[in-house]
Amino acid sequence: MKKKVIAVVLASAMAMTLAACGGSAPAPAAEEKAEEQVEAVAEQAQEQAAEVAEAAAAGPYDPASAGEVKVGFGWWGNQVRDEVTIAALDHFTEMYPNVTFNPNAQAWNDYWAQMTSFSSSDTLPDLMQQDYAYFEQWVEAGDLLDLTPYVESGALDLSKLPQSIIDTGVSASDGHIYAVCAGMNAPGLSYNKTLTDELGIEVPDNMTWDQFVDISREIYEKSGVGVLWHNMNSENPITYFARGKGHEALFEADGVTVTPEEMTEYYTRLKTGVEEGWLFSTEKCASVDMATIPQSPLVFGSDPSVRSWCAFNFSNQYLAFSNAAEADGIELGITSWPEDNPTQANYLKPSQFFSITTDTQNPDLAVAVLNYLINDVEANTLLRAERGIPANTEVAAAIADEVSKVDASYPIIVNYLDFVGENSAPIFPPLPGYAGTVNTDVIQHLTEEALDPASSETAEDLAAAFVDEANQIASSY
Amino acid sequence: MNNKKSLRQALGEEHVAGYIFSLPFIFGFLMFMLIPMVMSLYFSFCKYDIQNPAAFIGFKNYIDIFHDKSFWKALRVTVYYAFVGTPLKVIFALIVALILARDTKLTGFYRAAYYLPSIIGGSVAVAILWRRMFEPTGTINALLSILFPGMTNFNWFSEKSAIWVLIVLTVWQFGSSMLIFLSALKQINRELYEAAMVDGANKWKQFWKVTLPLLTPTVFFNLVQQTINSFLAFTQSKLITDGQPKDSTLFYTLYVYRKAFPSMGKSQMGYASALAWIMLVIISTVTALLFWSRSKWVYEE
Repeated sequence: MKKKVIAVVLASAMAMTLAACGGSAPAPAAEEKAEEQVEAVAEQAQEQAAEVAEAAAAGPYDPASAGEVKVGFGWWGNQVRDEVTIAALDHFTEMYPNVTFNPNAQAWNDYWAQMTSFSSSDTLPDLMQQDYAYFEQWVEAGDLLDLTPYVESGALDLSKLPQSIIDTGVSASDGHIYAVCAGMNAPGLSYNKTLTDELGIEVPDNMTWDQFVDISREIYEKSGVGVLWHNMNSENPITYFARGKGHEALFEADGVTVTPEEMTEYYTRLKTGVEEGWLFSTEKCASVDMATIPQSPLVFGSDPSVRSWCAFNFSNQYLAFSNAAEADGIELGITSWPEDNPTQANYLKPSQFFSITTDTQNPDLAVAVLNYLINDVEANTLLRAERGIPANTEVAAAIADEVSKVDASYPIIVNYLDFVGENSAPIFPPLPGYAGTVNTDVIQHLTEEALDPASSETAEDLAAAFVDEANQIASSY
Repeated sequence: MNNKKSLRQALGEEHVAGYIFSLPFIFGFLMFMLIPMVMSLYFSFCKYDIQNPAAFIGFKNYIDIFHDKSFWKALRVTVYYAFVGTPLKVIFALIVALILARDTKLTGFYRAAYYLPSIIGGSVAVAILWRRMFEPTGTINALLSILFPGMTNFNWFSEKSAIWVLIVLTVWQFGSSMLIFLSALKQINRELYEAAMVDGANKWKQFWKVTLPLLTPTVFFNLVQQTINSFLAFTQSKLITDGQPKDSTLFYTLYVYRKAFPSMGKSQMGYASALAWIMLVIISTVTALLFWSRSKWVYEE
């Protein structure tokens, strides 16, 4: 009899859990019927009791019970990010001295090479930073842990995140959550405000391409400072351009959306800039450091000829750029990337994601750490919103004052994101798997050609090559 | 008791001891050479992205490679680097060896000092230092602007000159070749020089008629070794120029690396493996040609 009572309690508990999971709760059945059901599932329930108990325990998992463990955490970024992330992880260790971390910080390029090889040997860190463009590829390979069960059990609390942001971490393959947004950002043009103020030039928001060219020309003529274009192998400028032309995205499942005619305009812009001198040529790009923020031509270089008055990046990088600029005694400003229909081209995006890998030995602990990074006010104060404005809106509000005290740039970023929120269109879907290959094998070469004044290729040639080669990669993927 | 004795006996036997002592090598050779090589040969016939299982596609990778512009570019760059850089390096090593062959009190110090770049040469730190030195506002341009006041901010990393930044670095790392030349120089019989002097040969003639012919086996050895090294050079290209600009410094190994571990998108490990096997064939051919040429110019006693 006693046994039966327990079974009933457990079964109803389970029914409630299931109802909660299902979303639409079954209509409450008649009491007798319920009893029958209970009898029927009693045996099953006893068997599953252990599992249910486990699932319940997964909710308030206590990291202190994990024993002496080291949690691996991999990310790409910059020096500021490394410092703030380690500070936040150290704070976790202070609360749970049995949990220490094995941080693995890399530059973007090296990060993916390393993680790919870790993935083949099943030695990925417990937590890894993921990117909006590529996380589907990692879900496909089975490297990322399905977070949906943990969200349902409450171990991972996403209740304070806007649904639209949670959805960015949902895989199109099965509708489950595999990644949680680490922060929000938007494309942003960081520029040398000290220089533009000196020259008496006003940099407007929502600049058109022609306005940008005029300003760049004027700065170049008056000071000799040029413009460094995006990374050679980046799809970002072309995506932005395509959105300005009315496409939602650059990449679709079967190829690129842009036409050769449109791309001719794009490559003509680059060629004109190099001819007029204000845009860095391929050879000049090779002589400056494009990969690390403290050496970026926006903030580094003792001669105007190797300096750029602006840098095409994302709003979250503004913090690291500002820190580097401060060391150089200049003040930065931030505005939208220039484009003819800026409100159509611009977008808010998750800067990065945190994911848990399937190689983790202790998923519950990894989830607890992830939950801490997303929802803990102290953690996010220490993280200084370097990965973008926290996706948890309550946390974002709570840290605003504290972070602004440490980083004068924080309110500027918040303002900028507010501005983008009002002047943008919804983001494009995550990139299809072949997009990365287009970046490295097509975009890189064509950009190098376009920025080479000695090149014999016309803008039409480059545009046709872009569309052809990208579509070919898409079809053979 | 009996067992123990027989184990000791077994270990005492010569061939067993030999196997045990060579075990570290056998293990390393199997794990890090043979097995990976066999695997890469198999993968070269596959579409393989590391994260997902390999799919056999026959010779497709090899066929695609021959239509790949970047492959031909990387091959040209590497061959240029090897065939220009290596002779310069060997000649430079020989000149320094001749200078340091004389025994003075400071010779030991100089030898160590000149060998130093070879120890640290392949390192990341030197690569970064090298890049800094040749940057538009770097040390080299600063020095040049003092010597030639009109010359400022010369761009060493242009399409034509970037490869030379790397060649100069490899020539600077002449140390190991120099040491081999030094030991060879010591082995040349003094009597030969005395005989040459008696015949009225000056230093210059002695070098061409005695030293150089007797050094040709060493020159040959250095040439083969350094040529292979040049084909396999990687760090310089990756860290100093990253293949830029316009792939003018894209070493073959860097291209293989990029295909295997791209900064974005999926790995093309199968394609990279095929590239690596083509490199093996090329290096073997070049080495075979060098050995074939041996009888034409190497002096054997």
